[in-house]
Amino acid sequence: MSELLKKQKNVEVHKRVNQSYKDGFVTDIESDTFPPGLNEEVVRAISAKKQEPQWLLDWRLKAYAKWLTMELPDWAKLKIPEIDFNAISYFSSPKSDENAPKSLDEVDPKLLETYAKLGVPLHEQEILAGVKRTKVAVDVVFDSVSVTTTFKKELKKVGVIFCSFSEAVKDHPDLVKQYLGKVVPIGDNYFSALNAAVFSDGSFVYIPKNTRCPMELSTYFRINEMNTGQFERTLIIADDGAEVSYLEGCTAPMRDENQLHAAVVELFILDNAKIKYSTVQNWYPGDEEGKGGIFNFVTKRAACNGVNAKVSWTQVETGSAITWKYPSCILRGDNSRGEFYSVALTNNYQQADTGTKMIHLGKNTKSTIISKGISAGKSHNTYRGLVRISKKAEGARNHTQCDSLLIGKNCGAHTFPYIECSNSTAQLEHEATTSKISEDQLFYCKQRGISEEDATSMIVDGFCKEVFKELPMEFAVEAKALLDISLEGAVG
Amino acid sequence: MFKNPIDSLFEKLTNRLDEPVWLQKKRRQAFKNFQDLGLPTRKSELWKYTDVKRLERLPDVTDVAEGNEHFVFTIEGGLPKETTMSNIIDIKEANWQDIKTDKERVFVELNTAMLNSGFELSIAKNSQLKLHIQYQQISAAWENIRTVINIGENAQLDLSESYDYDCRINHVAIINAAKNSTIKLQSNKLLAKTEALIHYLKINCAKNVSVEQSTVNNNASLSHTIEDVDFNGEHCHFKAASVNVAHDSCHIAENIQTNHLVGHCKSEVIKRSLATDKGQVAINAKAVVSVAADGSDVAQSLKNILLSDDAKIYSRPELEINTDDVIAAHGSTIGELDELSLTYLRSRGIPKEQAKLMLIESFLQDANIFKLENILDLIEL
Amino acid sequence: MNFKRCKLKRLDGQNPSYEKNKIMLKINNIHAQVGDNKILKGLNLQVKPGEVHAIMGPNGAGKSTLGNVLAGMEKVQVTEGSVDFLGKDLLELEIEQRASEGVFMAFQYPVEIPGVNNMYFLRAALNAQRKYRGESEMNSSVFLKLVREKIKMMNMRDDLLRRPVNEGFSGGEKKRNEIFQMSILEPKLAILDETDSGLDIDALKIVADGVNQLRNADRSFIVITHYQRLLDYIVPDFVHVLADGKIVRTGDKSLALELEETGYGWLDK
Repeated sequence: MSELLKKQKNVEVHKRVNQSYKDGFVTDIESDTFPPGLNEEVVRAISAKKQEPQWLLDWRLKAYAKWLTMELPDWAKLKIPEIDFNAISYFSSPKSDENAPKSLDEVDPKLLETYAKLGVPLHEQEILAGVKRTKVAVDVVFDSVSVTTTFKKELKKVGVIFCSFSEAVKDHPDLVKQYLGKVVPIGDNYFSALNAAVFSDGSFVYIPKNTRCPMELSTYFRINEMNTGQFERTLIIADDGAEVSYLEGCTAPMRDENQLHAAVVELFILDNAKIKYSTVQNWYPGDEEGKGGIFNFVTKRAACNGVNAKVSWTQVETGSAITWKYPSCILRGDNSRGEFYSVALTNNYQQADTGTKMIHLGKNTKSTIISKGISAGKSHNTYRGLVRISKKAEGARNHTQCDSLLIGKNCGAHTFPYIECSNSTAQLEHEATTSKISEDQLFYCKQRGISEEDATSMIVDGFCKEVFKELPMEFAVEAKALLDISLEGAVG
Repeated sequence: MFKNPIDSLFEKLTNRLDEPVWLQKKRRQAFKNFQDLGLPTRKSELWKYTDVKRLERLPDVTDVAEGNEHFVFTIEGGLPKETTMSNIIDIKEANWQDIKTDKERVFVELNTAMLNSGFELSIAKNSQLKLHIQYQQISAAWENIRTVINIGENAQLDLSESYDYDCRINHVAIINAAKNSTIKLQSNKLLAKTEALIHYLKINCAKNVSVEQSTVNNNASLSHTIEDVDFNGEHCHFKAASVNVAHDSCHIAENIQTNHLVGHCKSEVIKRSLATDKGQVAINAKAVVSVAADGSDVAQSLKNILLSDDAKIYSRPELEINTDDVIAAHGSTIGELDELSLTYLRSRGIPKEQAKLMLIESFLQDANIFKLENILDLIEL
Repeated sequence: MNFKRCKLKRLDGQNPSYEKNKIMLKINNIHAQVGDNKILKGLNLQVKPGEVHAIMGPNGAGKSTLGNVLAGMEKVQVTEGSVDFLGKDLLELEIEQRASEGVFMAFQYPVEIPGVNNMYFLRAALNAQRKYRGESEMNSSVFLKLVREKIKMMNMRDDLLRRPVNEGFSGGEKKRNEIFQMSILEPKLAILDETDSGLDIDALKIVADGVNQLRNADRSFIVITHYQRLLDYIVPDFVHVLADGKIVRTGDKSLALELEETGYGWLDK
């Protein structure tokens, strides 16, 4: 509680300096960036740059060919300006990466400075000696290339592989080959096909059998170069009885133009294994007039292939001009469980179309969806979710709760649940409410001496409680602070 | 789908009817629109779970029925003074209402093009009318019927309607409710398992209109309804309930959209659906609250029971809310009969099958808002 | 600071016995309406420190509106008149400023705030008020001690503190929670709006006990009630009858008993 109050104080400071997007700064370091444009040569060049094996190049080319035949989806309730895919650069790496830094000491100091500004706990020593009690291993994707992975040695001791995607392709080709594209096939959707063709890097995690990952793993993504797209790919495999908690954070500098982010995340959960995947998404949302901001088109999917497998997606989405994202669970193994906890906040001209898909295939599979949407300003916030119970999913259960909170008269909150059931022993419940912060609630708080702004923040925080409690401690605090910052100017 | 040479059919139809040029023009334009839009596919949101190919088992949708005896009216106490009823073909051009169509509402275009029967009923203000309409199937071909009901200010309409058991009807219905009018509407769609009904209903509500609507859908190879309700004036009260029961390979799709264009209106949608054998029920209830439609109140309750593993239920309660001063809540459940209740009934000596029926009836009764006593007897449970 | 100056100024022009007879709250000719509905039509009331004033009257007389005017509910419009609270123009202050100046309202229908923990809420309120008065924030251990102490007084279960504000509380628990909040925030003037409604006799006694423990020479109460029952337990110094937006009779405790005998029917005559 004291932590929270402290955070609130911090927020006040932010307000005073009128810093509405605190992560918006551009680091000036030399970078190696491809000229804008997309064609087969670019795909080949990316692959060559990364010294990839032939099979991966073939895979990319197949994806590119597929992408050419596809069309931008238009079913989401989003107004997407036309994207010129030839105006985007598909590869950008900090120059210092050319000679592959061997250790942190060799990393461009400006890069480190950037991370310091972002609050990324990059130095191991700092964490070990520092205030933070939990250890977090961090993989950083700066524009397109994974720069460094901390704690690698310690993880290696227990057999956990946590490295950049490129390294994984070199060092663990069999694992990558076995799982890549198996839950998000290349032709799954427009953006996943694009990602498969041009992805530049990302994170790779393998947790061996019966191993509980000794620390939380974390990735920070950041787009830095102008007109670059970021197409990272994350692949996490939890083998039988394995357990891991993975955190993902995102930031991008302020730019007038829209930038594209199209990531793919694939999770594989085998017998009795567990993955908890948490995201705090804070890409630059554009300015108050809706200029600039990130287009965030992300495909995230988890395959619970084993019995008793469990996956939990928790997300706090406050950033991006447009968010298009449906972290999904394929519940194939009997007794497997999928969870989706989401807070999506939109302000100004932001648009978010987000939700989940729960595909129940195995017996006694269970899923829980808790979605909290907050719309302010002139933004539109949509929950779109699918719960499908297949014929063989005996005894499947789903509980869905999705609530919307509206702040102001010019915003929209939309709920589009798709519920499909083909098994008579299944039980599904879906509930949704739409409300605003009531005058009575504000009056009550104010009568006790609390200002309108603080009361709003308190009520929004209370509204999101069910989701926040699913976040790892440090993230929960950050998430609350983020909401407060994002709500600035929405009140009054 | 188009087994017949359409152009010649269309020629035959328009030449046969002695009708004004403007209507012939409308038909041609509508037919062109129909061809341009094409049949709905699974990509159309309101046909996502409906396979239009089901219509292929029936005679061609562009077959035209002969004759004009499509309606049997039963009016209690006769038509009130100044209330008029006329053939749709005789409608004045100025009174013709175009319906905004899209890929979802493409059968409305077909209806306009192939229209072979219908009426326009205008109920005088301050009057009361109690009416029963039976929609009749008079040939083996498709009937394209259009009904327009205008309800005057302060008037009250108590309408019950039913469709023939053997029904191949593409029905477009428009109800225009003037301010302070009251509508009670009971629709019985108890259909043969081989037949089909495509129904489009548009209700336009002026200020302070009250609508209570109860529908029973039972079977049909394909029974597809799209209902659009517009609140153009404040303080409307709209309540729509339906009981949907699909057996064998029947498919029932009900789509209702309430448009809160202005504030302070209340819409409530209650659906109770049951699918068994290989039956399918697809429900979509959508409420759209426009910018500044403050004081809107939206409630949706979609409950479903699946009784067999080959049956399917699709349930979509949707909200599009564009202002903050709104009360909106929806809930949807899918499940089997409550085991505990079943055990309880049986422990009191009620045989299992009977106990099941009792529970089903009690489940469906939620949507029988007029509390009609015999309604469940008519349904195959 | 301001407020001290004001007090001094007034002192100059007053007789020496001012301290004893000073007026805490002076409501002067208040006219107020909700929408087009005129509810208060020239209401006058003066409250001195330590006094308990009961406001009684038939339904719709404007009793709750009086409370809402003092607390500052925005939908109540004051069209005429003034309210002076300890030298300040109360009507000029924001809702939360009034609270911080020491005006507390125990609501008839306390709202529920889902997800916001009662303790957290109360501490935020207390510290906001302390900050307003230029005092330092209360640290969590001192706060916790204070809360423990007061909760016993209200005979409330500890777990209500950890639950969201008023959510899932019974009617009686909500009312007790209001008095509990009052005991923590220690206002100068407390308005109890129909605090007795919906309470059984045991709950009523507990609430009244809580209030009585908070009575002292500096703290004043305005007790709005429809029935005299509550006044058996919270004994008022004055009883006012509010009818048609005005105070039509003032008396002592016996007036309440008389009203119970005669009802409000006489008002129509």
